[in-house]
Amino acid sequence: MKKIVLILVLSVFAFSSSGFKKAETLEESCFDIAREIVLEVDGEINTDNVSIVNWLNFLCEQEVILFP
Amino acid sequence: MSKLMSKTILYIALFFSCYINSQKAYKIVYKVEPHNFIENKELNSKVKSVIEQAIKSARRDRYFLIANDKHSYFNNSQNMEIDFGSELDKVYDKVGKLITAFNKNVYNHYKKDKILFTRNLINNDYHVEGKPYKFNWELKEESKTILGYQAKKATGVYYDIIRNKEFEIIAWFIPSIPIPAGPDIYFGLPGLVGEVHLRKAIVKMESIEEINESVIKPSFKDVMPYEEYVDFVSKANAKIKKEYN
Repeated sequence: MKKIVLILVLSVFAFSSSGFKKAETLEESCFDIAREIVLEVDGEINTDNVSIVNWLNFLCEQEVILFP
Repeated sequence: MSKLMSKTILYIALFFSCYINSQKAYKIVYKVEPHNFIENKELNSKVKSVIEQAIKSARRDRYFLIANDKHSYFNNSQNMEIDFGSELDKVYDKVGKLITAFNKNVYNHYKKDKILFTRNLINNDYHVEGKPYKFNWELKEESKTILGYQAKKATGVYYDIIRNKEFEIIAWFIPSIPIPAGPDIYFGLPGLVGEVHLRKAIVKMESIEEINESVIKPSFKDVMPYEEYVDFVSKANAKIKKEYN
């Protein structure tokens, strides 16, 4: 009986934690989006574009802009 | 006496004609056609939307070059007081400008073999002075017409110190306008550059007109020698790459 309860508890824990991880990866952060935009245009983050990444991240975090 | 008088008048007329000719310059407007963007690439929808709008913004950008037989000046023709509809429009404009990655205030004195430009690095403007970049241009046989001018093809190699990579540059120059000028740092050919193919954009001459305007060298308080600029970029990029890439 104890074994069954333990298996049930463990399986519920495993299921809920994997679900949590999935939701976390689906929701990209402002920084991820800002970085991805610049990488798509320039291929890397460098002295030319790092200020744009930080600026986009700031605008997004402050909700000044909502990416369409 | 009258002969002396007429000779004097002739010399004065010749002097003024030479003066006026030396003031003659060309004003060229360049437009941008983004390229090398993969269509239907799987991207986050937000990223994709911003990229599409940035490409549209780059297409609307115009750059001007004023050039005579001694020197030239190149810059973005955008008015600083332009009214962006929203913060998102500013985003599209800034991201769109990464497509050409042009310098600002590019002054090129071909006779003195000197170049002066402004580069915005990490949100600061740096004014840099050095020698024009040597592309080791190879002149090709191919030719085409640009705005009614016969243009010849040339290829060169550009080592981009910011991206630490080498890129092939294709330029189309106009031998009938024997001015070694062009957009940004892309010049040094036996004729005006009418079109240049860059990493992410094709920059094309949209209009050209003769003007009686002199080329003015921009003046800045703090000017950085090119070698110092290269050193700064290399050290700053090493830090940025560790943190962001």
